[in-house]
Amino acid sequence: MLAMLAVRMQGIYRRYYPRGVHANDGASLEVEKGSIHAIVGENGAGKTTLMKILAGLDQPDEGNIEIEGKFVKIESPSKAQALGIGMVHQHFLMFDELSAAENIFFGIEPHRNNKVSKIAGIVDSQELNARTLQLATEYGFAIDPSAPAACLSIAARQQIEILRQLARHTKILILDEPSSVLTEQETKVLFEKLSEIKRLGHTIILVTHKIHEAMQIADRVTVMRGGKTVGTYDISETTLAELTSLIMGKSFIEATQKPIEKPQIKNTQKKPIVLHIDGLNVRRHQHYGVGLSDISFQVHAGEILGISALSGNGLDELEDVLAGFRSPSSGTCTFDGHNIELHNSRRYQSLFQKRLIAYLPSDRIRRGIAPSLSVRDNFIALSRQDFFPKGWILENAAKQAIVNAIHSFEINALPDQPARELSGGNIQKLSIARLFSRDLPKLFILCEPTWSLDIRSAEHTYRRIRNARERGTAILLLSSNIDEILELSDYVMVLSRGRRVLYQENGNWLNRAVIGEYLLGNRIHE
Amino acid sequence: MRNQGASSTALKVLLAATLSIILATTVLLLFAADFRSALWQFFVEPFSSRYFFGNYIADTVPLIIAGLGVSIAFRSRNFNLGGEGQLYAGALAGAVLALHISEAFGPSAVWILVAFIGAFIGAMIGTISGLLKAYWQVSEMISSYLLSAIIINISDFFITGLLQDRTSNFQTTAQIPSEFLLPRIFAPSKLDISIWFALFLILFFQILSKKSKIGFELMVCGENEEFARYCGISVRAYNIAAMAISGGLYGLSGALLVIGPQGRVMRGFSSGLGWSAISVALLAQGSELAILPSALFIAFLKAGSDHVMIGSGVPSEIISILQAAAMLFITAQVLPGLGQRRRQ
Repeated sequence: MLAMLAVRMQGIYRRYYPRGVHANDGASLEVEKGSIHAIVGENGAGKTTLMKILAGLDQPDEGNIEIEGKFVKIESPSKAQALGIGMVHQHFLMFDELSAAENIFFGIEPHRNNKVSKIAGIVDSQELNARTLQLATEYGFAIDPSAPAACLSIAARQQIEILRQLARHTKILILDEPSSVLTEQETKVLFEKLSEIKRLGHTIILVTHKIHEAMQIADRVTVMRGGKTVGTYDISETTLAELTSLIMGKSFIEATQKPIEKPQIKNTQKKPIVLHIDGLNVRRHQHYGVGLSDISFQVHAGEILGISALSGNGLDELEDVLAGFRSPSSGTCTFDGHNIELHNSRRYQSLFQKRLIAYLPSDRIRRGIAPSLSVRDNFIALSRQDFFPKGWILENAAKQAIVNAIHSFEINALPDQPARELSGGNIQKLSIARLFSRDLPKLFILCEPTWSLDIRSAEHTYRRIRNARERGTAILLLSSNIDEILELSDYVMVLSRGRRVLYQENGNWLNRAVIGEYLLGNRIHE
Repeated sequence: MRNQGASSTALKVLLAATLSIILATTVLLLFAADFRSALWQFFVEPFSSRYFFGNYIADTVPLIIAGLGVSIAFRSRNFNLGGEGQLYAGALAGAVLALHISEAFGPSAVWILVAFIGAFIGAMIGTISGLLKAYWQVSEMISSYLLSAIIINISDFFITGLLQDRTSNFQTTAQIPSEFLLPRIFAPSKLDISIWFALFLILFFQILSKKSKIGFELMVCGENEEFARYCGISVRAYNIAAMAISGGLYGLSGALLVIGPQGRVMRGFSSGLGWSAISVALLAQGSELAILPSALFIAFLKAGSDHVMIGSGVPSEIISILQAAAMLFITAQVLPGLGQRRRQ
């Protein structure tokens, strides 16, 4: 017997310009009323886009949405609210200066029962706090209504976000990666509350990339991959392994069976250690991320250390610290035999200027280029010593260098073109060209080096990285691409929730499936 | 955008200029007793004699110098709104030097010293805002504006007190002896040799920003701070330097006015020059060479309306409204473009 459907989405297409990426490519979704429904998939599988469409925050190019059996068009968040749909975002949207109660009832505050109060918008704060307590008790939350939002913990802020939706009579509650900012204990508490909310007749949609969480709390699960819906399964009838392979795709399963070409480790004699990081701690950002706890690793000359993590698990934090953009709260760093303070250190930053370290940022657009400057200016900006040797530009040298780079790195661009007109792949090639057309450094920090590159350009890049390794450069490869990590690295490190869960030689026992389990935090190896 | 948007930017600038002129003529039509003679006074009179033309060109000198400073600061996305105070303080410091210490030196040494001290004082004031921004994230717009308000009052206090010329009925410092004033080059007008210096500065800053490492780094800071950090450029240093240069050029233009056309510092000396320089920089759209035509245009608006005010009895308040409205057109046309570039 079919249960009543709360949500039915069919043939949803959403294409993002200007890169023309399909975020949703014919996705569908059916959610039973009064159930907890998980949506799982890798980053970029289109989960969040689909939910934004349901919450009226984004419009599909094509597709039908039915809410409780009726076709609807959700053109705005307020329309979604009228239909009883509300979304709790990954990053909380909150007024720090207002109290918990004011945040929950923002825009629908109770007023004192006289005309002046209504017109002047004077809030009846007694009534406000009373209603907040009533709401919190109804759903089993413990909240101090008058506490300023700024003083609340991340978990309490999340509860406020949920209560804000419930105060607006939301019947279909969407949570986007709710556990990504929580500790394990906090996650447990959250799931208890969600079960309570479900018991009271609400429908909950939970977007997550953590399969074990979905299995723990959801009744049914929809798997998404590449903007498409793979299928919907009853939790009781599926297994962790089955879901993992569905998420990663068919090619993934086949690929796990055939051996990957791995770099031959020449253990004849160990080369000197170039970078040694010990006991690195980074405090969690106030609103997002996980921070880092007790990360240690070392990389030798002529060796590649591949570091991977799912998004929001500490890879960004590690990149920022290694690039000198963020100060760790503790930790020591030894570079080439010298102790160097990482904390707010000019000396560490000078290593980049002396070209002992070269760094390729993962955020190519915000950190990697100045969009309005020309391709040439973007190219020479990183090597100003070469092109402004006495403080004045060498026009011919600059022109020659960019023409050469465009040619040998196959960048589809003109020297005078503003960088913003370039496609993502060409911006990436420009960034790579900037680093690889100079002398090799002692240490490369390469973050997502093949981001938005096609297969051929990616192969070229791999060749260049291997070549640098042959010639004795130590390389830190920070990447979310597991294949890349496995193919290039001598050693592999995996972070989960900001902790090191794997740090091993890239032996034959390591394959995509194993790494996948570490990434998802299901296995820990120390 | 520098290629593709260049023509549309030029169009916007032209539109702003045209609108200002249309507005001016409309106002004249409404308020002037005799419209035709008012038109003549506005459009032709500034060019009609050596005296008027020379004074008109003399008016462009401070606009060029201060406008360059604003333009350089824009390049690094710093907005110096404290020009009035910086100009005032630079002028006052220059006047004190010229009045009290000048006997020991010959005229040319006094000119250099006055110019230097004016630039130095202005730069110091600009640096305060730069430091506040670099170390405490205080908006340079607000701090420079408020500092300027304070400095104007302090300067007025000195002009009406300690430095007041007892023999004059005006609130002013004493007149600087004529041997220490810059030589006039276009008699009988007030135009002096500082025009050559202003033109030299345009060339100097043009080369500096297009060819030098400093200019390049300043531009990178303005386009994308995070990218600048990635390239190892000290964004902090350039924030401070940009405000110092901007304040310094304001102070310099004030000092040159004192030993040039003005010869003394009267109360209300800056008379809106600080703001007009911002219009000049906005019209020039970040190009140093375009500062010259922009300054000529803004000075023309002022010269033309001054002639109408005197010749046709249009009240000075109306002229002020006209100038304010012209500035509004310019900012409304030009600023959205800057805002877009910022967002990306």
